[in-house]
Amino acid sequence: MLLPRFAAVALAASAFFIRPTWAQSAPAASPASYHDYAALTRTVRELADGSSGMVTLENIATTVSERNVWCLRLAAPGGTPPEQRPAILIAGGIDADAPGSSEVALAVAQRLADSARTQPDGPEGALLKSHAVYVVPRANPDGIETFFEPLKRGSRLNARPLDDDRDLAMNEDGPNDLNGDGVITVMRVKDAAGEWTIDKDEPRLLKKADRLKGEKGEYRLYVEGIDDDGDGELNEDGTGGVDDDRNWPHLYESGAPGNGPHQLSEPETRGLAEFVLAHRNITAALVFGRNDNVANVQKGNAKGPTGQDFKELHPDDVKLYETISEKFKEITGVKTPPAGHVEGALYAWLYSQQGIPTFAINPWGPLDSLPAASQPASGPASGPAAAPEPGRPPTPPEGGPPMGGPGQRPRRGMRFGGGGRGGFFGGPPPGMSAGPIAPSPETDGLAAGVESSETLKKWLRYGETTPETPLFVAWTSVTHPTLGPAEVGGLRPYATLAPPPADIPAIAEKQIAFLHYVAGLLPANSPPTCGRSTCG
Amino acid sequence: MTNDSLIPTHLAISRQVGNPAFTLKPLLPAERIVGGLIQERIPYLAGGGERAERRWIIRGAAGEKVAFRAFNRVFGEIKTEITLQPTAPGQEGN
Repeated sequence: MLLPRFAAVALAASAFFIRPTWAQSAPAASPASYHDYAALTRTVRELADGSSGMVTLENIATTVSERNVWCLRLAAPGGTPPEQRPAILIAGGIDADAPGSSEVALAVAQRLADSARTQPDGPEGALLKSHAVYVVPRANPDGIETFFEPLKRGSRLNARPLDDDRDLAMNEDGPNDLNGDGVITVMRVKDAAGEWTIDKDEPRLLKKADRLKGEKGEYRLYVEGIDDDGDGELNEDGTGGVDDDRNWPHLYESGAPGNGPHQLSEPETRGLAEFVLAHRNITAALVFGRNDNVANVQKGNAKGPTGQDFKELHPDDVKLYETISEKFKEITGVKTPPAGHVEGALYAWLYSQQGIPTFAINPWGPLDSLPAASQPASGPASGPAAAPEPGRPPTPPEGGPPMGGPGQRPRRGMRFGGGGRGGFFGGPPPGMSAGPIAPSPETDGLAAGVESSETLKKWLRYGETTPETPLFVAWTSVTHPTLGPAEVGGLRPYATLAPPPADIPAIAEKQIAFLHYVAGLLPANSPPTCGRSTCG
Repeated sequence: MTNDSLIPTHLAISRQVGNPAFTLKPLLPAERIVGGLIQERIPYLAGGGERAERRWIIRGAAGEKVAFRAFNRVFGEIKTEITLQPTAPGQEGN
């Protein structure tokens, strides 16, 4: 009788407690700036060409703007063929409003390749001998490219031309830079019927008037812009497009603006899906972007609309994620990012429909290291807008994506003023006959850049520590052609999702440490121990 | 087979979506497998050292090497080889 007994896995649990030696490595040099598509392409090609076979470059999709979605395969030559090794997928830049995620993914790939090449017996060399690492540094190159446009819109969308307002014209009514500061923020217009009032604790911000407490609204809110096409709606059909992180099959919200005509409708989402399906050796995935499921672990009880699918985690996986979460927070220092928006997200598809242990990571968490506030934050309620910094490079972080970024999406026809994080704002402009203004993907979530919340107040405090890159555009007066006197201001686009370029290497270093940690926990092929036999 | 890592071979969600199990078989002609299935399935192994055990009765000679193959489309192929050893009557299975 035979008793085959061999280890499928030989990774010692003690690795869990060992202080990772990679944490002591020196960070790579700071990039001079973020990489636009041309610079990204140059960088990944150089990385592959100079890697002595450690890195191979593949184009897995071509977007509507003819940009390639690059995938770097990192694996030490020799030994088990890379496609037969356990693999870890790292994806960045799926969220167009999170350019920092792309930079971090690219920096991780560079650092892994450089270390493995120069120190083959070091931690990175060992990792790439036993595993393959697939890095897609920019899953949404068209969307991220909007970050490099002169006018910063904080758009979540790719470049697919869409007729958002069904008027047979495309991209004809996007936001407009009324105060000439190079960024799109929020307009507030005095209106006694408005829902919004100034937060007395933080006069830069607004809050919903609580009518039950006798508070009165003073303002209506709109996205900065005019009615370019004269249809009575503001900014309802700007450039693009589809949000590539709402285009995946798990809990896909059909018909919602910006989600695309159908699941995986975009060349880049389809290409990445095909890549995953063709690489069944992917045993774990790290998705950098605006979502999170590892610092804030969901409880696993929520279900999707049909009641069949788990919305976030399977309940039986929660404990595992909680264990990994503790280590993630210890390694990275990122503790309180906004939770993920699971519907149609890449990370949700990887976990919920492919069964891959997937960690959605918002890699930059400066708020977690802020000193406690000694007094309520304050700042100018109004005043001249911060002038565009002369000579400012096009790539440093500026502006802020919607604080409620991972939050709700507006639905066409819903009224501005619904509020909530990432919600809807503004209302029908006085004197306009078109009824409620329907928010478009262009306007999605911008209200959260001015809506008072503890998180936004923390971001304002953080902004005060970086005066060279102001995060908040001070309210300044403009005259709107149809709304009359108005003020423009709010959190800058990309403010919370584009860390300073100089911080990218350190952020990437922490994510590499987490990558090592995850790799050490994975079941992996290893020389099996011998079984035993008995003969009778 | 043993999984000594923390993460299970299949998350709970992975089992729910029906990701394939491990298959495990002796690399022998079917006529030499006297007892047991030609190919066994191991649905998953939880982390922390969970073990799955499968048994066969095969025809063979003492000292003969017999290969076994485990396969999963994610984890690939794992092979091992054992040497049949004579065992005193009454000691089988120890």
